[in-house]
Amino acid sequence: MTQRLPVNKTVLVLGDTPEARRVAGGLEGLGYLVLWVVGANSDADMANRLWIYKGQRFEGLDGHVGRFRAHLSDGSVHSILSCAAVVVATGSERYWPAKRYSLPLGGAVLSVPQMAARMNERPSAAQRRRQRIALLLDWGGETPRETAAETLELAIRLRSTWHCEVVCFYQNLKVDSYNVERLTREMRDCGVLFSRYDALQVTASDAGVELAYVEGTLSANLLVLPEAVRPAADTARLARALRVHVGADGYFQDVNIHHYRPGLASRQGVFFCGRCHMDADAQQVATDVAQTLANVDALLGSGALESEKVVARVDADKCIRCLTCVRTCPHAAAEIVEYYDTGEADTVTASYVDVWACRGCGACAANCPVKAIEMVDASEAQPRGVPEGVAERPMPSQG
Amino acid sequence: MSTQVVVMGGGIAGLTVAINLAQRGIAVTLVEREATLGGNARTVCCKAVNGVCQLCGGCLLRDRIAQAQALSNIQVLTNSTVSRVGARHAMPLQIMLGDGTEIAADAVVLATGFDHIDARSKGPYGYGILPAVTTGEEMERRLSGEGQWIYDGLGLKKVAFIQCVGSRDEQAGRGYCSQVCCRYALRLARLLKQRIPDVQITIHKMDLQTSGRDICPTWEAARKEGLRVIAGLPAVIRRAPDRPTAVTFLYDDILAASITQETYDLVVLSTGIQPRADAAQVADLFGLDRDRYGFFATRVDECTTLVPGVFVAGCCAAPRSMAESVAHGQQAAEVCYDYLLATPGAPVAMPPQETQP
Repeated sequence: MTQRLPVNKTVLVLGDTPEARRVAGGLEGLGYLVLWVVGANSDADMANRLWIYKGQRFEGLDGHVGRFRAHLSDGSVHSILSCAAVVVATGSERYWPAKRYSLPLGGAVLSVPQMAARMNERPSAAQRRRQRIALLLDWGGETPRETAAETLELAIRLRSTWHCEVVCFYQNLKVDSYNVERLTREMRDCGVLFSRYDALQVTASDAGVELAYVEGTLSANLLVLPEAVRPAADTARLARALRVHVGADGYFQDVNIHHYRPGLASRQGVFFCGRCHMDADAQQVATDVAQTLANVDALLGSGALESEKVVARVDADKCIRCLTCVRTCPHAAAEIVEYYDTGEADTVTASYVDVWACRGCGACAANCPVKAIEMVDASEAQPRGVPEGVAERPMPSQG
Repeated sequence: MSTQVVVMGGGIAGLTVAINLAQRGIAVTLVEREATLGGNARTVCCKAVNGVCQLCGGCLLRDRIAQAQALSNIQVLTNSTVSRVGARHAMPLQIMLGDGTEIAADAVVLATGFDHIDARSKGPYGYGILPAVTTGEEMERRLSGEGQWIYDGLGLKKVAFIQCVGSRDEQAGRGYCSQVCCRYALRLARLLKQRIPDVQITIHKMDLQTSGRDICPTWEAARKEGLRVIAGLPAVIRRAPDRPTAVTFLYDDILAASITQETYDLVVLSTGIQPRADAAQVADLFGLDRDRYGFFATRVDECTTLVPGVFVAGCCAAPRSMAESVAHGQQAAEVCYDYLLATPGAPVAMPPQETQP
């Protein structure tokens, strides 16, 4: 048997990204109260059930799924918001990898966004047509999906609006989503030239670039490279504050303990959405937004949490507070609490594994040195720290 | 009467759609043509290497079958097909099943899945004739509960994976990338290497697809473990003249600009995904268009079809991995739910109830 816990349908959304905006709007449309933490310069607007917290820094997350307490700070004032779940949609970060590319920006070398901006300057038709523009993918490492799709779109625009010669250098042609494959086909159809390279020598001057490869040398007026992508600067700190994991590559890691669950953090009630946890083109981000809405609604849609069928239970009298379970639990479900109702005169301080945050993996029970933890049917577990009645409603801050 | 949705196909995508909608109180009829749920996802197995998850999604199926069976408002009809569909554009759609049952569906989600590309269609590769030629699908099946892993005792020294067998082949009518083969080949290569440490593994590829956080760590680990990658595919695979259990082929290494002959103990053909053989009939039943390769055509959101109230999920609309099929199923369910909410006079959804297992 499982245990049920009624909860408020309140979700905290972190991030200033298009996916965060869509998740916040989508959840509001599904009837959730959405607390959206954005940067100070965001143009996000309050709505009836969409409350904006501008310029707030997320500092920590207490409690467990259904009864989270999120700590925010604007530098001087500390505030606490109650929420049932958290969606992290903080995105990724673009940069010019000067070291990896060993090509300084400027002159004939442009990044994809710079080229896109230049296309708005409208040079004369004759000037445009006389140009030969080289696009360079996979330079110093595989181009991620996120920027590859944008580079391919740029190639098609260059070809179909400037009518100039476009040569695309690559190591592995990108076809790994239906959308990217469609773009590759469109490039071919509109006359973009493709050239596979293994070793390539690039010489850039203000006047143009020379690309030397095994078949010969190609000179071009402009060389366009995609920017590189890395985890958003705050990711590691956020992960610590949220008590969730990042992968070896520095992005948020979906839970894959026993089961791989895309979009779910190891901590129950925390969700990842968009480019903070995946390398995705725009189409895949849209799909991921829908998946996030579905995941959140599967957890909270009924207005009650459902525990796992088997959960960990701590014998408070046996527990020696060694913190092994707190450190071991991959789901941040174990904590040290005070038990008041043990029948003894004094309170007992011991470990407690939350009934709804526990995923029943048994890691704590297996590692407990005094065998104080056993896996039991959820109906035999004794939940603690469950608020009576409806939890407090948070108030939005000014601004 | 509550809102009724028919989901066609009980594979990973169809199950995801059915669970999503049922949790929102919609009555779902899940029509599965086979005797058991799971579809092609049944043979996708865990590919963890040394206990470390490779994010293949093989574990995404089992819980979903249990979940679908536990929800009282999902009616699972196995061994069932749709034989007739009433007038299109007239809602609800009247759907007649093979056994004569009629259902009035407020919406239909097609999740009819895919067929594996038959490696025999690539005759010169000798699959089915040469015992040393197998397919990724077969290898995976031998890892799942449905088969037996037989490769450890064969004394394998050299193994080759051949990519794009039947995919990205316009002459075969399949100019598209199957999306899954590079990923499963890399994962299987690592798994094989873990079990047989002194084996040398080579991947013959056109364009290896290694971007994406689900496969990039596997790719980097495989390269560290000595995986050899060659840009060049064989034309014909033959029995090795000196060793009848081995096979040999010539390939054109296009980056080294050389033609080389090489002998392997085992060749794994990375076969991909193609539209189901009956996709044309299903498309005709519902009045759907198909794209140039035979997948169900969609609008730009990749879920909505040109027929109102008919949606698609999973590999019937385009090749997808396990995780992508789940995500697409969720997306299709969201789009379908929005459509139902926007339909005038949509009945109020009933809260779901769990039946006792």
